[in-house]
Amino acid sequence: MISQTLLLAAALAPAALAKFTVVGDSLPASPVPYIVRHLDGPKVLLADDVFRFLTNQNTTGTGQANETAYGFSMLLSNGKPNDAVPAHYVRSHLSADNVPLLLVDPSR
Amino acid sequence: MTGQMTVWVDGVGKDVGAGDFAMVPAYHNHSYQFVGQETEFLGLVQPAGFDDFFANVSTPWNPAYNVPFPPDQPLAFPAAKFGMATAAYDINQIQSNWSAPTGNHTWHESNGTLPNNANTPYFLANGEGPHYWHEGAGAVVSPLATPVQTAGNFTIAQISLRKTNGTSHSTFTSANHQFLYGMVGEVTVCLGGHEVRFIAGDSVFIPAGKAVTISSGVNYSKFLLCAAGSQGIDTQLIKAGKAWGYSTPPAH
Repeated sequence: MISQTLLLAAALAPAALAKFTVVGDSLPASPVPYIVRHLDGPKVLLADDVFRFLTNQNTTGTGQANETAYGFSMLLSNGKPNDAVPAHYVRSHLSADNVPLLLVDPSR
Repeated sequence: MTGQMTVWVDGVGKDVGAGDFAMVPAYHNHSYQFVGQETEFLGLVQPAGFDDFFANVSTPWNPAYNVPFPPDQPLAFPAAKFGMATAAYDINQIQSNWSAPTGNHTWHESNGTLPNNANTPYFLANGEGPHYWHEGAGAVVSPLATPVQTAGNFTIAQISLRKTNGTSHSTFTSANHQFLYGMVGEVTVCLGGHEVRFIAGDSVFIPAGKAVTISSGVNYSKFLLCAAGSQGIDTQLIKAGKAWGYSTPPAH
């Protein structure tokens, strides 16, 4: 009976997930296979938005104009109608070719 | 994903709902506003690192229960903090007069053609745009952004899967990191003999160089695939597939 129980336990053990890290409150520090279950993972609160960070595996990426490598980040936001938003209207200065650029905003 | 929002690009606003897509290349003014209850959207930012900006203008949130939104915890918009962070992250904040969305009665009916360059902002309505059918994978790939629209830096595609017969599945290896986000059904990813199943709201990261099989565990599944380059599974499926008229797989 014990051996049968152990065998059953082994069969049901999380071996199926062994190759995938199940993310809790923080993302892995290196690019390993992982899964973030719905609404798990790191989150921040910004006014009426909740942002969940799902990936940023290009550790050399800083999002600055002098960016040296490409990668991607994903944010997931939840919210409700709010007349105060948008409070920001942004123009990205991220360089598409890794060269810092000085832009003149044509609206000014 | 759900709800309704307005997205402005270069001063023009459009109503965007579930399944709709907006692309904003660098150097184009943009913003958004939630206009419906329970609105949720997924945003991919490239190059990496811009998530730090949001981390800098917000507060960590670790609720006792992971519900989507804290309606009982209103926060004032952190204008001062936001102003400081914009300079550090190369954001130019522009105060503008907000115009009501225009062309809302027609833009969802557009033919959904993707621009042939990486500098043009565009919108795609749910299910619009090009589609490609790959019979071996049982997958329809609907590219939302191909290497052409991103200068080869990343791709985004919606992938619809029908359940394939038997246990044989196509194996894919990509030179790019990839990210999958569940929308409908249940998708199985098998890596090195180990599998993980993800459903709507779950997300899976596959590092570059890892061989995987992807299949639907139920009759029909749909997910988003994002690749950090021009060699993702979506691009491979498109090259090996054929043009298809629909965003869902054939029934026969």
